[in-house]
Amino acid sequence: MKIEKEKYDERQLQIRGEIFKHGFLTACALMLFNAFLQGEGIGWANGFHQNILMFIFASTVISVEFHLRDVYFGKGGRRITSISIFGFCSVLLLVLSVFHGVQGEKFVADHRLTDNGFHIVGGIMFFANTICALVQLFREKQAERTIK
Amino acid sequence: MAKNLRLKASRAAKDKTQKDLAEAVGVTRQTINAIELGEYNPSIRLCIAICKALGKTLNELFWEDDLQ
Repeated sequence: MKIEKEKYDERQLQIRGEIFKHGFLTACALMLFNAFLQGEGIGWANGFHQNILMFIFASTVISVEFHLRDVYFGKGGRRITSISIFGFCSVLLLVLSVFHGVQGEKFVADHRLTDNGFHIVGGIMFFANTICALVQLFREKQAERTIK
Repeated sequence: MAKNLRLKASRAAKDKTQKDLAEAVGVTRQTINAIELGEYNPSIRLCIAICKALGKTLNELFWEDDLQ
């Protein structure tokens, strides 16, 4: 008897539900905080970047928690392929941002994130996600070796 | 929740790793580990799948006398 209709098993689905709740609450808190800042006339980026960064931050919270609680990949997920693609994209984003920074593009202008600042903050969040995935991959490989 | 040492012993007696058992019942290795450590309370469906994979009954693997 094998239970394999779903991509995730029952424990993973339960934990993923808890984590999505955390992500939803994080997104709500960010939106409220941003609305408060806007009400006070404080802008930290242009409107488009603010919304995208809040979305990416909430997604990063969810992804990082998924990785750390080992529910990102389901049964037989292709960990190494996914981590490689994610890692490559995040490093590329960071390297491009730093390259533009070296060429003179500012990260912050008039107390607001510029396009390049937006890219580097996004890159850092993607990179944090990749690092957590690698840490979890290492922990899982170690556990497979040690637990009999 | 207490550790499920009977599950661990039965699995070892069948010379199966956590990964082998997980693949046999269609869950992740971490789920089998969590059940053995008493960190996760499996559904009856999963309990039955584990029992069938190890050739044991529900009572032999999951019944706890102190719950009576």
